Amino acid sequence: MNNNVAKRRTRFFEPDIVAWPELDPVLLLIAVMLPLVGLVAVTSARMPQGAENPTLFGAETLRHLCITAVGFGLCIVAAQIDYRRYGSKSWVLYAISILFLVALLIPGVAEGDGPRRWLNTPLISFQPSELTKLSLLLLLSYGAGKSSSSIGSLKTFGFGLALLLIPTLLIVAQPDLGTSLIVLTIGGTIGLVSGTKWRHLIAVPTLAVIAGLVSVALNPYQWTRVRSFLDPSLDPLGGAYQAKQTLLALGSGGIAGKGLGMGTMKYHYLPAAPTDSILAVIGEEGGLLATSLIVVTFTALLARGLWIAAHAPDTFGQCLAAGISFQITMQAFVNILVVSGLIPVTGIPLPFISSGGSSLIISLIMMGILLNIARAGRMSRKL
Amino acid sequence: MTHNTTRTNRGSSKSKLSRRLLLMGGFGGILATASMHELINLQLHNAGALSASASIQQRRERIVASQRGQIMARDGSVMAMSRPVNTLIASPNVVREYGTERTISWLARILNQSPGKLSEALYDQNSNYTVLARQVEAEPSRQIRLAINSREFGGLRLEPTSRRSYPSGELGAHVVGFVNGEGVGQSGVERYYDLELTGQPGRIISDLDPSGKPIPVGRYDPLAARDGSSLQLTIDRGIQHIAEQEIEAALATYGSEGGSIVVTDPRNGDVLAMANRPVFDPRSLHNYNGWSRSFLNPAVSLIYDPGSTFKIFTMAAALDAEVIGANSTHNLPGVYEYWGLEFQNWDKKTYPNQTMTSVLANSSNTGALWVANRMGADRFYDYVDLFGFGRRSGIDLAGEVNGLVKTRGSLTWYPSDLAANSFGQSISVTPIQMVSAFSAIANGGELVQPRVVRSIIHPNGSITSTKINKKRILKNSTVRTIKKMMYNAEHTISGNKSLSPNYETTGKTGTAEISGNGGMLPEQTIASYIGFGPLAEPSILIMVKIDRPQRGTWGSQVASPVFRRMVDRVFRYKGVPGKSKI
Repeated sequence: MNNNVAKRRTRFFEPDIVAWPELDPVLLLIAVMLPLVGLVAVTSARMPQGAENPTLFGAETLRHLCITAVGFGLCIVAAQIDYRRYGSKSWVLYAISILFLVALLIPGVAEGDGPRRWLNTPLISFQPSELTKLSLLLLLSYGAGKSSSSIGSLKTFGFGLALLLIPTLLIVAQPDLGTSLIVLTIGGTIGLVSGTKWRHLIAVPTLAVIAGLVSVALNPYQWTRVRSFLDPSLDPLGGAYQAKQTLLALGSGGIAGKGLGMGTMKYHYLPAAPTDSILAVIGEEGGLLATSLIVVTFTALLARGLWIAAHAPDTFGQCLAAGISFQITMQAFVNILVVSGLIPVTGIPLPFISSGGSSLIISLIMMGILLNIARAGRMSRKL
Repeated sequence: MTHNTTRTNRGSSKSKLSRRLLLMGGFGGILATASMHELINLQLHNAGALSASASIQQRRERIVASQRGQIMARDGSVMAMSRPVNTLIASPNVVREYGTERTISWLARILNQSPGKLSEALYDQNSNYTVLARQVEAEPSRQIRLAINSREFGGLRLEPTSRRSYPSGELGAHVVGFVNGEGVGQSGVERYYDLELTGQPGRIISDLDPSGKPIPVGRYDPLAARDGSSLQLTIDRGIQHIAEQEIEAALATYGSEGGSIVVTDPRNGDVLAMANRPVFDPRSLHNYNGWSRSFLNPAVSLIYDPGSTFKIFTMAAALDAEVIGANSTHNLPGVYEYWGLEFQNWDKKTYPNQTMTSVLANSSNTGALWVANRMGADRFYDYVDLFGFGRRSGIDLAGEVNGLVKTRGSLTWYPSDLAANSFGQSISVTPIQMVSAFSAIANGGELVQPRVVRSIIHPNGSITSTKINKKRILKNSTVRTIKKMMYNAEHTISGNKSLSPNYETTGKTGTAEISGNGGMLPEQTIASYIGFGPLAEPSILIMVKIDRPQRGTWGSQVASPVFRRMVDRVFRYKGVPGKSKI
């Protein structure tokens, strides 16, 4: 190795303006389009707030705009950083996110009386579980790449499983069953892509079932949700009523929708219109045309992500690309299927679109990493 | 590891990778398909039904009350009017956010209500609709509106409605009537003309959020209300006032608990005054706990046996049927048995060769019996029917009853009833029926339908006059004769308390026995007098009826003096020329 290369490697951030046209156009389009759709949809969904408290409405819209801009910036920055450089540093990120998750369980740290999901600092409040997703993706993919020769061994698998289990249990404890299942999905995906044996992989869905059972045992309201989903007459005014509202909103939209801003269900009929039910707002105002565009976009994101994984130069990149794209699209489809009433309410937001700064920024960073893996794959094919 | 083995390893792991990535893609594809399937189902196949049920959930139809018309006396002075008030509606689940206790103590102060009642209404803090207070006046409404606009309090909403007020109070209360809490007429012209007064309420269809607030981008479809018409009564405020004073005074003088004075114009049926006791005060209806006997208008809703006043109709019928003449005489004894029952004169005296005029002057029962018997039941009851007894007079007041007339052929009729009916017993009538029938004597033989509403004034300013319904029932000559007989009879009676020294009137007393359980109640009577004047062309007919007087029993003692006082005051008020001026 010559001195020059060694010198370059010490630089973590490597801006490369010439590489702009090399960014994957499909992925870039998706990464720009979805947050903009979200900005418009969330602003519309907040119209009732706008009528009641214009100042707060203005402040939150401006905040959303800033976060989107920051997210785009971070996405481009991430696209410039060679993903392989995260490798050894992913331990640090993992340790930080575990610390945050533990901190949430300390009384007085988390916000409000309900589930402990939000960490408040004087400057910003964010959801540590979003950071956990990114750190897990990086660490497990890196680990899988490092131990690709021993990937079939139980010891390697066990080590990875332990790394996965710690944050999962901490998130179950919040409690946030939906997010913990997404975290398990990340682990499962990386296990699958890295070539882990099937008989080892079975442990992940088994753990998911156990996590679900434990969580339901500790939080009876989750069981009520499942039961009211299976038999809406049990709880006509509670969860079933809320679930029904999203269906009414989607149905009211029909094919072409009522027009931007013209939806009426967001006026306190839809539960969590700007966040979990944002697709219902889009469906009411944009109709089937808008909702199917969203489904198609996320499907394209998965297809492109898996294609990038298939062409990534190493196992780290393969696992990371597949993990990022699968994780994002799984969240999207779970959200869509909840809103359209096929599966019980879980509280998973629609990535890029639902209001929520932590999720949007982390998702855009992930898109940047994915862009970088795509570029690395293309360059390795050129060589 | 050599370069070579790495290659083969990479090759096999590459195909394994592709398989596993394809597996993930396939799983994603299944979810994408499921999502599209659900969305197409909801937004294409079930869009109509879902959109309809969303629409039903949000759509509210609110009635916009129309302004109820006024009721005015003959001179245009207001007797009933509506003024705008508000209904205070709360969403307890929103009130909670502003502090339920705080809101209750504030509202209790400005509405002057007990906090207990308010907190009862706000008890279910999860509900989103409750009526907190009705008929909130302008000033508290203004304060509530200010507090809502400044966001000091919330979850409250005012719905405009109206409140009926009756500036005249007890004056003419039975004619005007009253409305219930929902503004629906319950008695009097308020009920009879409820449709005209109400008008056509409007409505607003709009989309509301779950707390009842309008959705800005939702539907808003208003239909304006059409206000109700106003009524001009035939009631003359001055005469009504006199009648109210006189009935009040009469009740006090004779120790009676009920009675009526009705004043009409016999030429057209206009009721100029209708004063009854007991009466209610429409300004404090809440004191009556929903119902009171005093709500009934005794002049149209209660029946009594008219007694001797009815002899005028017996006599007029017989004259009209030419069964008797003005100079006919009879020889029946003062006590007489007819079809197994004994009938007697009030003084039990026998008057030999009694003239028809003295039958009236002495108010002879056996004389009236003789007349009716000469006519025969068929002809007698034909005339009873012609005079309008046994059916409603058709006055435009709610709650009028038919009265009770047994005729030959009805199951409960006995031949002896003809005798009793001839002098006004065993027949039940309402005061307004008596007034209506007596008008035919006063006006020359035409039965006039009494009315209390002169004209209906529509919101656009056009005026509809109510019809005057007349029907000739007696020959003009008959009326001339009976009037002369009545005049002579009244002037034969020594110390007749009904005759005014100032005005020429005539009429007839009546003392009806009250039937109770198993027979007549001793010493319980209804004393009455009906008369009219001036004799040349009668324009005022007055009926006085005093129920169960405790001091004095006879119509001539109790009702006659009241009639005379009424004549003096009303005729002077109307400017009727007096005797001395002729």
